[in-house]
Amino acid sequence: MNQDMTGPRTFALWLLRHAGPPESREAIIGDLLERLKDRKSARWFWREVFSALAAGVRMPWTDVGLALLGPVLPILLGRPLLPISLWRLPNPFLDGVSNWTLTLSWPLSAAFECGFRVLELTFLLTIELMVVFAFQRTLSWANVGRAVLIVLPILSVGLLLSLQLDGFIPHHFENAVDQIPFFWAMLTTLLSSGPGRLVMPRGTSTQLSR
Amino acid sequence: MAERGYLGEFELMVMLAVLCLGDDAYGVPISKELAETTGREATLGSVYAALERLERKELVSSKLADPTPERGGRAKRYFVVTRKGLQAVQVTKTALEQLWRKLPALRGQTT
Repeated sequence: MNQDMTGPRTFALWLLRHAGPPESREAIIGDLLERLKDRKSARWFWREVFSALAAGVRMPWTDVGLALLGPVLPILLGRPLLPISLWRLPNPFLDGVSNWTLTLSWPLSAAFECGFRVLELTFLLTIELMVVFAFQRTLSWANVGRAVLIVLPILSVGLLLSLQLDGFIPHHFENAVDQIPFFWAMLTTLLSSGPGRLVMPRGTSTQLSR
Repeated sequence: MAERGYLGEFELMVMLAVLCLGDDAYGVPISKELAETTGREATLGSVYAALERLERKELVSSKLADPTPERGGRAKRYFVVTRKGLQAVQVTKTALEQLWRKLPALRGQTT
């Protein structure tokens, strides 16, 4: 039995769940788990995963477009979007928090500053996503919660990577590279929360049960 | 595809595999059937991509079965060829046969 679902394979299945073809991702994951019983190799498994991901990428062009629009629009307009502009208005609470982090010693000050920045960006991106959900008629607490759970870790990793890469990236590309986590977070959320998300039909499957 | 009435090579093979398998036509047996027939393993992603294209053209329909523990609680997605799909298979078969008839030398080699 070749069903060690730890490490890379768990990550692969997570990728499939969030970026696989919306209509068939659950069926594909089930099929993959079923075929793993045939002692399939890791190479076979990854080939299947990448093939399914590639098949998924061809379909949700609307989601890809919307996800691109989020980070690209502020650059095209030359200024931040409305929620960001409003957020940056003088705010005693935010100023207070910002000043408080400056009084802390390193590394607490750096940790709080990064954490605060990630929370701020997560909040703003969640608002953008809520607007998209409203247009797609998929606005619900479940989808907003899912958005926060997806956006928060992706932006955290993105910010850490951007700090590590600071100075290594040519100046002209810095802005574009900074937008990658936004695009990825938005795309992942839309793919897992949008109208194409798999919904199990009720009462239609009993006659086909195996 | 629906407009021109006949199917592409891979789509035709997938449709025939679904027809051969009958009530057991879901991802795993379909890809196995294709592998046994063609000698080349088709990935589940490409099989599902073809099936979803066919479903959008209403040539196949699908239903989800109940989730099963051996598949990590995931449901099987069963496919059935529709009446329109059967017509498309027939049209493609006829077109291919007509083309083969125009090649007597090759027909002689293969029969």
